[in-house]
This record gives sequence, structure tokens and C-alpha cells, in this order.
Amino acid sequence: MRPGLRQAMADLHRWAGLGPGWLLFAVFLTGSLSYFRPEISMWTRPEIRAAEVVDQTAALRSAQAFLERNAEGASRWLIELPTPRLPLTQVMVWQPGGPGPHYRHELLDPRAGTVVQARPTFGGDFFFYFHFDLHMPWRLGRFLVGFAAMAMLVALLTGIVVHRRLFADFFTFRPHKGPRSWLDAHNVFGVLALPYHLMIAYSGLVILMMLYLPWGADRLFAAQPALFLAEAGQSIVPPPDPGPAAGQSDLAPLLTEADRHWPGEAPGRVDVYWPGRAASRIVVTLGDDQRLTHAGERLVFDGAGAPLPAEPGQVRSAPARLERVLYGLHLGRFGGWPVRVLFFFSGLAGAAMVGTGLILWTAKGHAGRLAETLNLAVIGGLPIAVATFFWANRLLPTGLAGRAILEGGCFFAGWSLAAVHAVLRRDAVAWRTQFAGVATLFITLALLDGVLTGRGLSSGDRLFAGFDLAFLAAGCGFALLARLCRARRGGA
Amino acid sequence: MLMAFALVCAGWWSVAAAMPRHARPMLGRNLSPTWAAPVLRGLGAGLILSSLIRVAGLYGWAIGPVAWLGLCGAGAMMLVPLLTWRPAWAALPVASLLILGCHLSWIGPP
Repeated sequence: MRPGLRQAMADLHRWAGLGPGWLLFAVFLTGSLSYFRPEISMWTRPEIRAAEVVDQTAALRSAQAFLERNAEGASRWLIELPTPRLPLTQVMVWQPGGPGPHYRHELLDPRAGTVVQARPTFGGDFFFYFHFDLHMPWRLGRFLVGFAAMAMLVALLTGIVVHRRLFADFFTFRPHKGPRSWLDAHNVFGVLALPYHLMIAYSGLVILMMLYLPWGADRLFAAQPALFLAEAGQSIVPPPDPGPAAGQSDLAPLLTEADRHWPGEAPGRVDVYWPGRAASRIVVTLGDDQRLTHAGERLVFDGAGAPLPAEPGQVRSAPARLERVLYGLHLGRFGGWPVRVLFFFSGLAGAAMVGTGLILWTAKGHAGRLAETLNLAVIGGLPIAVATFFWANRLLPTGLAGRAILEGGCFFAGWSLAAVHAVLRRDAVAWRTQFAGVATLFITLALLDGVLTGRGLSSGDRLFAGFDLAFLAAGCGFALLARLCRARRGGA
Repeated sequence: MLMAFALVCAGWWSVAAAMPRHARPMLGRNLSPTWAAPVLRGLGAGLILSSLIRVAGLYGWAIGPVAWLGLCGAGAMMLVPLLTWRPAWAALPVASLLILGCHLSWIGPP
């Protein structure tokens, strides 16, 4: 290899990695939390006692009764059936025209079919949307994250070229050697989870490709964007004219039909286009937690519940199938909790790879004060923000107006506070202070949560006990990091 | 799954022991016969591959390889701090994992 090439790759690696590095760290951390999106959604609503396994047919029946009472004249109902992970029915209603809101989302008690009584919160959705949307207006966050993912792909590929001793240094970590140690850690976190890093960056880009590269589809499907999604096999195009009113047929028997088609696999959602109208279409989609691909196989019925023949979109082309596989890989909903835990730790390894890379840059003494400040504000600050969010969920009064938004506000307030601290002081003591702060927040939350909700470790509640243990583990991890900061300061 | 993880860890241990840098701290002496390194490396590769077969048996060949790649990363990640701070003891957790894995897969619940 020409010597110039490796140097060029090293420069590219540095700039592709450093530029979006702080953003990537945040995306990796909140994305890893998103693997537990339903669990976080249940934990943040402690008023809901998780039901035992819920009968899907009963849940569908109660949801339909709710929608017929509360969503008359809607253009579409979407019913997400309860799962063991999120034992609640979710209903979404689109109601264009008319006085009320055009879109509604409700969580229902699967048995009673009433809106659940719980504190208003975004729950796990907060981290899920943050990790690709950053809660920014005009899809700005999605573009920023897209650029960051593209840069990360470049950084990964150039990193492989730059890393001369990929196999010789496979297990190597040499502590107490300054930048050398940070480089070793950066390499270990990067190489050992390399398949995951490549997959997650690439699939993330593919999931939002129609946002990043819309021009081809725009040209071909300008008049009917929905037709593109139908041809790509992602949705159906309902008849444009709803037709006259014609009482809504019973949805529950369709689950029996679904069970005949997918024996042993539970359906995930039921879509009703033009409910209660003559041209109604009902779509039953397979749940997304059983197969690698997020293909979402579906059955289409007319308003009376008679099955309709498969449309052209049902037979997908190879690229459309590949896109669905990448989508499923990115979401990581298959394989139950062992796979989820592996994905979670791979994601944390990604955050650690980015974090050690950023610190390596400043440890070499090349970077300015801005980089040092940003390092502390993001690597120390984001965990503080996450812990603040969980604390806010427990402490904000349940009747507060705009409570769900305020929880998010607390997340950003905690982060801002850490950032201000990082601006004022960014030495080893400041790192120790922030890590000790995270450790305190998590450990006290684990200990006090049982008192606040009555559902702690001792109550035998598996979900809550799991969260308490995870908070304790996170707290101990950050306490260890704080100790290491002290050791480093003493040594240097 | 635990057995598959144990196989991956044993495989990585074996691969690491075949590397000149790790052999001495791990085994207390240099690898003596010249064929020891390739044998250890082959053994490690075999163990890691057998773990793939085991995971694919549990999850099928669609999800199996994905879970297996995750296991490979996790196993290696566990070994790195051991090789850094307690190289001679690295065999201990690996062996206990193997024993526990065998116990659970042949005697206890799957």
C-alpha cells in the first residue's frame, strides 16, 4: 500500500469521526435505550399494573367498541394489539376534517377498552424519537443524524484501513499509557462489535433513505406518493372514495383467519381504512417480534370481512425484501430478550467507541478547549440527562399541565446544567464530579423508586426489579468511572 | 444460549492463547512445540463455529447468525479485561461457564 493512502485515510477517519462524534455518542446511547422502548413505556407509567397475558381477540373487541364510541367519521383506525412486552392496546385515529384533532393516539386497557389512567408521559418513545429526530422541528434532526450516520460509515471503513493490527491487537488493552490506552480501548470497542456498527449505521441510513434521497421516487410517483409505498410493499392504497355508510363489521373473527395463515405467530396490528363505510379495507399485519425481517406480512379484507386477493405489492422485489431485512435488523425486535440484551450492549460498545475516540483526540493534545468542553458536556452530560428524565418521571406531579413535555424539558435542563458545568471547568475533577453525579442519580433512583411507587425490588415485580437492578448497575459503573478519573489525576 | 456463549468464550480463550503476546501471561510459559499455536488456533475456530451451529439450532439460520455475532463480540469483550489484569485466571471463568453450560444443556432445563 502506498504510504500516502494510509495517511489520507487517517485524516479522513479523524474528520469523519470527530465532526459528528458528539452527536453520534448521543444517538448510540439513546438508540441503545430504545431497544427497551416498551419496557421503559411501562416503567414510566407505574399506575398500570401489567396484566397477565392478554387475549388478543378480547383486546381487539374492546378496542373496536372504544373506536366506534369515540372515533366516528375517521378515515383510518390503527389498532396495535397488546404484546407480552407492552400489555396495552394502542389505538391511532386519523380524522381529517371535522372539529377535533386530526390525529389521536391513545393507550387502552385491553380488557375494559377504556383509556388507561396513568401519568402523562412519552415513556420509551422519548428516547426512540430522540435517537433519529433529536426532537427538532422541520425534520432537521433527521438530516443531522443522517449526515452523522453517513460520516460514521466513512469513519468505520477508513478506520479498518488505518488500524494496521486488526488481528494482532484483537484482545489488546494496555492501561496507564496515556493516549495509547485510549487508542486500545477505541480499537477494542470498534473491532469487537464491528459487524453491529456497520449494520446499524447502514441500516439506519436505509430506513430513512426516502427522506435523504427522495428524487427518484418523486419523479416516478409525484402524483401519488402513497402508490410508491404500496409498490414497495409497505402499505396498501385504500379506495379513494369511501362510499356510503355501511355499519362496521366485527373485526375479531379476522384474527381466527390470521391464525390459520400464520399458525403460532401472533398478529401485531389491525388497520381499518374508511371504517364503517362501504369501501372499507381491513388489514391484519403480522407482529414484528418473531422474524428477522420487518416484512410485516399482511392479510387484506374488505369491509364485510371477506378476504381480498393479494395485491401486487405483496410479492416484493429483492431490493424491497432487503430493505425490510435491514429495517428489522436495525429495530432488533426478534429473538426475545437474549438478542435484545446483546443488541443493547453492542450499542453501548458503539457509544464507548465514539467516546474513547473523542477523548483520544483531546488526550493527544491536538484539540482545543471547545473539543474538551464538548467531550465532558456530552459524555458526562448525556447520562445525567437520561437519569434526570427518569427522576422527572417520578417527581413531577401527575396532574401538571403539559407534564409529558415537561419531562422532556427536564432531560434537556439536566443536560444544559452539565454543559454549563463543563464550560466552567473541564479538568479531571469536573469529569469526576459529573460521573459521581450520574452514579448518585442512578443509585438513589434504584433505592428510592420502591418507596415512590411501592413496586421496588422487594415487591417481586419483575419489570420494576429489572429496572432497579439496571439503575444500580449503571450507578456502580459510573462510580467506577469516577474512581478511575481520580486515579488518573493522582497518577498524572 | 449459555452453552453457546461458553463455547464462544472458550474459543476466544484458545485463539488468544495461540498469540505470542498473550501466551506467556496466560499459560505461564511460551508455547513450546511449534505446532501448539496452530492447534490452539484451530481449536478456537472450531469452538466458535460450533457455537454458531448451536445458536442456529436455537434460533434458526435467519436470526441465529445475528445472535451469534453479538455473542462473539460479548465473549471477546469479557476476555479483554481478564487478559489485561488477570491473564492467568482467564481460564477460570471460561471453564466455569463451560461446566455450567454443559450442566444446563444436558441435565437441567434447556
